[in-house]
Amino acid sequence: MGLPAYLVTNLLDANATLTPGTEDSSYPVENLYGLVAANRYRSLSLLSLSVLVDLGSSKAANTIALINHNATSGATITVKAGGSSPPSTVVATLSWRQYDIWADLGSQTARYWLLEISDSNTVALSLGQLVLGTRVALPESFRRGRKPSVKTNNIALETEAGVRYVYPRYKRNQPGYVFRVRTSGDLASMRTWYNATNGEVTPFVFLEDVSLSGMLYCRMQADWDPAELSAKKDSYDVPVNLVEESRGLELT
Amino acid sequence: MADLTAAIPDTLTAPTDAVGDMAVVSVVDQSGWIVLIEIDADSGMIRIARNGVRAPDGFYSGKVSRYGTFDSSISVPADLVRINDATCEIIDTDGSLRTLFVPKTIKRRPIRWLAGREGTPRVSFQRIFSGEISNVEFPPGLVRIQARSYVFDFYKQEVIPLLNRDNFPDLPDNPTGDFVPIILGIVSAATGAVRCHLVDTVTNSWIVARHPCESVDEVWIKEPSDTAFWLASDLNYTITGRSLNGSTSTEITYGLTLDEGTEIRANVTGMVADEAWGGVDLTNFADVLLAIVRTFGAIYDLDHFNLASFETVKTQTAADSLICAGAIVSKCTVGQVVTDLIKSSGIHLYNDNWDRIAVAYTS
Repeated sequence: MGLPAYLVTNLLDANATLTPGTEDSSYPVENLYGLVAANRYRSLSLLSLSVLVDLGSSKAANTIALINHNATSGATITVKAGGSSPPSTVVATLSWRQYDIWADLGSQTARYWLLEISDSNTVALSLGQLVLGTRVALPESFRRGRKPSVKTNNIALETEAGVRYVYPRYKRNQPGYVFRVRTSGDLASMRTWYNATNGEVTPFVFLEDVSLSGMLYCRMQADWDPAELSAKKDSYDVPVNLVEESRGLELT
Repeated sequence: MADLTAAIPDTLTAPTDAVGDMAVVSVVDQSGWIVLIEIDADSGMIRIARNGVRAPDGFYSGKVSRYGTFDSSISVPADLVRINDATCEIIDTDGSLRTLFVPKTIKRRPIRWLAGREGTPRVSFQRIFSGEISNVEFPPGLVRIQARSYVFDFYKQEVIPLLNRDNFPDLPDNPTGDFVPIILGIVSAATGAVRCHLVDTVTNSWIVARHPCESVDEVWIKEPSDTAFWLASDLNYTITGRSLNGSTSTEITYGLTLDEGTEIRANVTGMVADEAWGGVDLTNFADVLLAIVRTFGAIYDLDHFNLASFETVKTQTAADSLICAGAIVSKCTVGQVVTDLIKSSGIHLYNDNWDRIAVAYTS
């Protein structure tokens, strides 16, 4: 069993140079770091998507996450990294997972990164966010409980003679966790996490267990402020509720 | 341990693209509707919706907090289109919209609401409200927009007078009017119904109408020394015309000299089919309404009209032998003209569900 971890700081930003293989001008490659998962970068090809990233200088990363992609289960997804452009060393081959995928890159330091997707899709390949960076692990002791939650938001109306009519609007992951704070180190970790996400402001990659493929691209759902530890109160529980970012709707 | 944070599979029931959001649900056919808002800002089109929507022409940011409501109704008794302002509340916590509005105001920029069913292509979405932004407020983290329907614009449009020296270089120094008449159907009176203005002192031409007429049936003249109007002989005048505002005017060119201060009136069978006015013979109220609104109301786009309703009313009024006859002889707004037309015909003007001007008639 692995530790939970999060990744907020994306090495891809306006300072990085992104070169797409092909690009739909309505969905430019800059969308990949726009923090809006629903607003994808879209290639013009049904078969391939590639993005060459020049970070400007060599930078370290141990995690890559593809958010809100539309690749099919037969897709081949590789990440290459290196000091020259284009890089040729494959540092990760990602296992397909619907919508969101992340991979452990080990310890890589490179200036150039290349994401390549080969697929046999029926629509142009697209990707919501590409997050590259160094994840931050949370201490095991934090994780005490979890409330698995897939929330279905409904519209409930009444038809004739008061018959209830319910229509599902959307579903999304909305898990709740309980972390136990026992030491000042625990408290500092929690505050670091909270500050890194600016509370509810910045969406981030959350890995519930780094030994598993599951991940969320989410925000903290409510402000929280862990209290100081004291002699009288040497530990307490901090609830953390996360809400998955919208993946948006697609119109042809 | 189980992979509890697995993505929601898209094999679940609708909506197939999970984490979607429909604005409206039709209870009748159990399908969701998506509502999109578009604003034609100077900096480019702003696309927003309740939830992020990827369409071929661009991304609709999921920033709409509230779509607001608007009502339209059919007036009884017949009157102009009644539709109130639409409102929407947009989330602007990142200040991106404020930033766009700083260099140039967003007021009076076009805005439209579009609606379409889930799973249907973007091109099949239909407009449900369009107009211009009339008011904007900036509460913390929000932008509140109030929009006035486009129909109010055509009410205010003035029917262009046209009688000026640009159109008539040889106009007398003191012209007797500034408005070139519009004549529909048979307009007749004992001593001439339509006052004609001298517009060309060189050719001695008097303007009857700004468009081609079926016929000028009688010309009545009263010189300053006369005590009453007298019927002119058709041997003494010819019916001429000139290019005028995309159409051809109807003028009386009188062959004999007339004293200064002479008045001329005419009985006229009005407008004939003219491309500038839609190419139809304007004797039916439905045709006239459509022509007036399109020609002077600055609504050129035919998709702003429920043309089928105009055709239906045309058939109904023809069956009732309702014939449009009258003249517009002085400065007025399109709203005033349309009001006169619908009150004298009993035709209701209203905005239909798809933001189109429609007509209904009850005999």
